[in-house]
Amino acid sequence: MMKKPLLGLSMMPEAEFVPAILPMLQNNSVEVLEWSFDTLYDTDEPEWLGGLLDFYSENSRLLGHGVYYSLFDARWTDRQEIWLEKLKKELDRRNYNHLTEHFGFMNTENFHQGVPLPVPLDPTILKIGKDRLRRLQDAAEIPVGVENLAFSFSIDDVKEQGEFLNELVEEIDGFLILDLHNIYCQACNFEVDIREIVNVYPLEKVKEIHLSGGSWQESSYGKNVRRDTHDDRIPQDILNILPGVIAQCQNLNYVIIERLGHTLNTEAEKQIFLDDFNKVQRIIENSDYSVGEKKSWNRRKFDYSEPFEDLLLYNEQTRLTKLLFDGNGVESVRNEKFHYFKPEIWDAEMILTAQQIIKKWNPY
Amino acid sequence: MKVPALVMASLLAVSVSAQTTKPVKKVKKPVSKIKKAESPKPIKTAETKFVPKKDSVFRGGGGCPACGMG
Repeated sequence: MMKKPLLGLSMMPEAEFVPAILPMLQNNSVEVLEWSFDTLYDTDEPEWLGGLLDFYSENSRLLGHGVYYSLFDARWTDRQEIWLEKLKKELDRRNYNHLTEHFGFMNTENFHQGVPLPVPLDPTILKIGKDRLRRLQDAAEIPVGVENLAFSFSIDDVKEQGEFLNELVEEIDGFLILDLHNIYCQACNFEVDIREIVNVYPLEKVKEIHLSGGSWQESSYGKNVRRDTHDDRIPQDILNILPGVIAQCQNLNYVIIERLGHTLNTEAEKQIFLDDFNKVQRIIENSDYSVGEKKSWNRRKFDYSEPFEDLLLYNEQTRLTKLLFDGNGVESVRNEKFHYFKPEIWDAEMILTAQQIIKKWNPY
Repeated sequence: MKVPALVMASLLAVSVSAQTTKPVKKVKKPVSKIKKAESPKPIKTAETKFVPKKDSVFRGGGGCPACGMG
């Protein structure tokens, strides 16, 4: 078994987040901070936030969590080059223990207004993911990991994501973030036991666990859809399985709680957030750990090569994003012919959910 | 992790400011007995459309799309 994982928070830049986390900081309970550095690219960082991030960085307790790199964008453009240049500057400025990104692709003209959509396990798509991950690894020069995605169009997406991530991170001797609320969403939306999904992931590669809450969205197709909105308490089902999952993840180093900054406005909401933090802290304290062999990172060296691109996939990613944004009916999405995507097997509720999420985040 | 006093002081300050700048309930305006002169109608101009810069950060909706179901 590994040593006790460190408990921390995903830091938010909103001032409203600070009163909610003060009790934990005053108790010296926040052992590590995670920071999505690219959400504030081109925006001034508030002084109070910079001071806190610098403190955790100086103590080797800061984790980097990218949002907008997009591991499966089929084209390589200036956008990715610029993102990596900014990443290098951020890594010169602060010391991050490791860096993570998300599974999926974003494909819009204005990149910061996209949402990641899942991709099927296909040799060409895997090759693109590996290429992007190698470039990220070369730029970062610290361990790099990938987080599982909540959104899935079909049960096939759910079943194959573990294997896909396993093959993907193998390329760089990378690791996984296991987001348990993302898996909870899939379990609810496809009526599968949450533990069954957890067990298809290569748990020995999990270095970090994410915990959060979410919300229910009404569906005209009869069942409600669970969404990962990071705006409510951690579901009890997740807290129930957490001790078992911690025990299965032999190389786990960090447990991070995520909550959006602007969703903690009332005293009751702040109390729920604090209660969640304390419950997770107790679960970690009460888990059994003994010192075992520490897995060391074996950095791979890569020869320079041109970025791998696939124009057919790029066209399909663009067509799919547009199709969903335009709000075409479920049947017309299902009838659309693709080479890589298989909309004919997608769930009606999930097509509608994708349309709503894309409209929310991507105004074109 | 014990956060240094200086960093904590800055967090306390922003915390107080975040809690005191919440919108307060609107106070009813006293009814004015003097009839206001009608203001001239605004002249219609072409609508200005917001064109976001390429790769600009748009945080208007609040939240984070990263996990794909936000």
